[in-house]
Amino acid sequence: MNEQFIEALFAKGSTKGFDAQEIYYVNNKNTEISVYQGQIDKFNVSEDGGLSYRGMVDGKLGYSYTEIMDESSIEMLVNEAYANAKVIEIEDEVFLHDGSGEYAEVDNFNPELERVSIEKKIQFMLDLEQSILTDDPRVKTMSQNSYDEVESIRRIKNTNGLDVTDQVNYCLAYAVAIVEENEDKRTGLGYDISNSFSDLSIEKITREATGEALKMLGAKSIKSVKCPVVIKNETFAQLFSAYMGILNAERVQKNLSKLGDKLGEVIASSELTLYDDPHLKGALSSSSFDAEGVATMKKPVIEDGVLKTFFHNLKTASKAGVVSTGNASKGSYKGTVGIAPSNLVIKPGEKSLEEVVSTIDTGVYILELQGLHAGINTISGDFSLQCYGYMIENGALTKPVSQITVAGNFFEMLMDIECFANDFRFSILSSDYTGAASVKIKQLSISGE
Amino acid sequence: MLSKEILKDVLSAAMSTGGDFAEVFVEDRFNNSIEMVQGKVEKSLSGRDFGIGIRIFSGFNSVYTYTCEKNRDHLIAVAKKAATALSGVPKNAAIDFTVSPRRNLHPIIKMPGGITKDQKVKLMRRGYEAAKTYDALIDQVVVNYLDYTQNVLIANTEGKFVEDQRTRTRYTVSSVAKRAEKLQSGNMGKGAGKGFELYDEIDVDWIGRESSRIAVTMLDAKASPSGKFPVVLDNKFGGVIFHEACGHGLEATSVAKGNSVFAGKLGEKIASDVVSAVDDGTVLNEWGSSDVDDEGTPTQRNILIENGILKGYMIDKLNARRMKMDITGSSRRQSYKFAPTSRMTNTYILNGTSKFDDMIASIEYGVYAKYLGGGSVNTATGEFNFAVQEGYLVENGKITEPIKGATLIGTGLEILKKIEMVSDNFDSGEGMCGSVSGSIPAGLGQPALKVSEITVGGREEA
Repeated sequence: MNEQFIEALFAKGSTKGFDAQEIYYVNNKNTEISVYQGQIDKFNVSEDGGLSYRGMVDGKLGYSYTEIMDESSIEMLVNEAYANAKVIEIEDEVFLHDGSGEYAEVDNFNPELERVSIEKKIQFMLDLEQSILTDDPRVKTMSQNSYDEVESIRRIKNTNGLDVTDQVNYCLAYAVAIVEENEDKRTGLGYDISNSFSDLSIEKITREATGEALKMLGAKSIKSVKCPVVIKNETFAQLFSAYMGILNAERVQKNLSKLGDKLGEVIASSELTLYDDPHLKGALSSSSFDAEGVATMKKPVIEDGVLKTFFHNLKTASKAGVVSTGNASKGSYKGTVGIAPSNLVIKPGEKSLEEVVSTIDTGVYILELQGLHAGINTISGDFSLQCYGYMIENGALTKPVSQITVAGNFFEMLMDIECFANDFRFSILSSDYTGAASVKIKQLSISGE
Repeated sequence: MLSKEILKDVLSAAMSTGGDFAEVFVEDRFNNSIEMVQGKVEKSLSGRDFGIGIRIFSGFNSVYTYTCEKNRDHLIAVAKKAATALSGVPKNAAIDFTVSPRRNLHPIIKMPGGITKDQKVKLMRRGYEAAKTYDALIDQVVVNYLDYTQNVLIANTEGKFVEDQRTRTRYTVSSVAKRAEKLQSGNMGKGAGKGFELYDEIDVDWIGRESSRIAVTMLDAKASPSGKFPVVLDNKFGGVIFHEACGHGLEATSVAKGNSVFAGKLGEKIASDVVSAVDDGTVLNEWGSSDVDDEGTPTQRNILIENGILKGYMIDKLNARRMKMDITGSSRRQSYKFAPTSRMTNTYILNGTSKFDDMIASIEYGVYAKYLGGGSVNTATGEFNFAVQEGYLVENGKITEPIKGATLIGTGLEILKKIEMVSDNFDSGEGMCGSVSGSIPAGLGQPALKVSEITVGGREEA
């Protein structure tokens, strides 16, 4: 990051009349490799980044951003941010952090990752394809697949004394297997993630991608029924994280959360304990500081079913008369500062998945939920989602079921959690980086034929 | 945006390892968005996206890279680095650009850049007032406004040199109705490939009222029944069913490798006789329209289904090689950060001859879906799902009470054959569509359709 650019920008900003200013700079290096039938199908090595600028004038914050950092962009950033600040009407007090506080040591950068040759990474994907195709004669093809490697540097600097930087990297490999038998096609996703290349396991990805798809062959719909349901670990993590807006203090303060007045009260079964842990080694959302540069901290959010805290940034914390929980967030340098969890960890139980399933006479085990962006209502808590999985009969998983939906209400479901299994796993598909174990819910509505 | 000399040098560098085609995509885009919460502007954001994407083909293989740096030496270095993924002998590529004149099919009358933020805020306040005063039960109103102008330049080793400018604007209102512990949201919006003149043509007060009407209506709706019923999908946003259930499966992205349930079915009957559908990127100033696609090919009207027979797919340059078929002017990308691929532009089911009232009258017990929310599809199996934002029970030929929490599921092949009646009240809507080449504006539309049965997922047994 060019220091002269920042200096020139801040100088221009104070001439314009800003009392305080801040830049949020991101630089990403990306590698993506996909293969198809023994050849490289897609190869992408890129570097990109951008700079977000915000300035305070008359107690209002104006934002602008750019991806091109030349002379003309300084003019644009300052003028646009100023014009944006001038149309802001809310009276909320705004803050730029001064860099005070205890910053934890968080090391999620592995310099070895980039040193592994591109050839090895390509070979990994070719081997993965072979492994999937030869796993079972019913495997027809590997469709979407990718090796993704990301290295990201983030820096926040302002005129109040804050100047923090972090650097993270990770690699992710995933593949979708398509299997077919008697004209019935099924798909399965397998993935592995780490910041050490040698940790990625072809066997693990293969087993997951083909195993689930093969077991789904011949799946049929079932009659509508209300029954106990077990939701697979990462699938529950996805459903759970889709609702996390209800703990966002900004939404609470706007009366958009049903949990707004439930701090300190029981909102879930005593089996549910949820941590927000920004310092977790190897987790995707780990950092010592949040999007406002405030030091992050590990904290219980729900403990034995009791709601302990909402997620705060500086603005909502000041309004609520508490300190920031270090959950300021920015989707990218293009956005304004909002609020989000870091790594969400739902505490697992002690029983194995088999033991949990064995407690159910008739029920459904849900492998995957679809349409999470559309089929849930975060305000009322209602959800109705397409899903598939297996029947549970006499305490064991039996035939595959598909073309069914599962419906319920998130708030009621939290109360209906009977237990978690011990198969904790993070999901790469959840909206925040969330991990959970498979969970047994007392009752949900399954709709089919 | 970049000189022809630099473009030629970059394309040559891209071809230095035996690629047989290379393309440069330059993007310079200005974005503005404003959010008003409870009648007060809470966020106002502007920014500039700038970057260059370079793509190289060698047979069926493709390499993509992008950067935000526009200086010549850096671009050549980036192109060469990407090219190392291919190993071959450089082809002597003498590039001679033929500059395509701009088609300007979608003229913009009032460029948003020339409109003050105060005027935009004033427009937002109208929608807010209309939504807020619609009913005493309305507790929260959020109004969002956005506009952008995207300038693109596409040059390739076939000598193509084409520039395009796309300006779009969108206005949305979300309302929340509240009674005691019960909260219910409603949403309505309008977007177009237009400038600020859009707001001279549409009534933003109506958008505000409609958003609140949905929230209030659905507040007291009872839970949807579950089971298989006849369903009437109303016009406009009902088009999301075709977009999800069939449109994605007709994109070369999934057809080329045989991963779509519609692969290999050209000329076959895949839908009932009353169904005809097109994907048309030329519709005047529509949300998903442009002069050229993101490979620089002029957009066109593609017939997908005609009287139930599958007539065509949406095909991009790379997949055209695999499929040995022609490109269709519908290769799109979110930005320079994505390699383009076949995507929908504006996807419509065309008018039929039935009457809406006759459809409802023909149902003894079923569901009328007035507005659909979002959904998704697995193109390999054809399984889709989508949420009903505003729905009603139909009993003995009459629309009776509102129902909430309904999700419609099925497979594309099955539902296309079960479309029994197509009405004559076509209207279009718009959405953002996410897929391999990012999130892009996609137009959708249809007249009201009656489907003989769809599985409806709700919380109550019928």
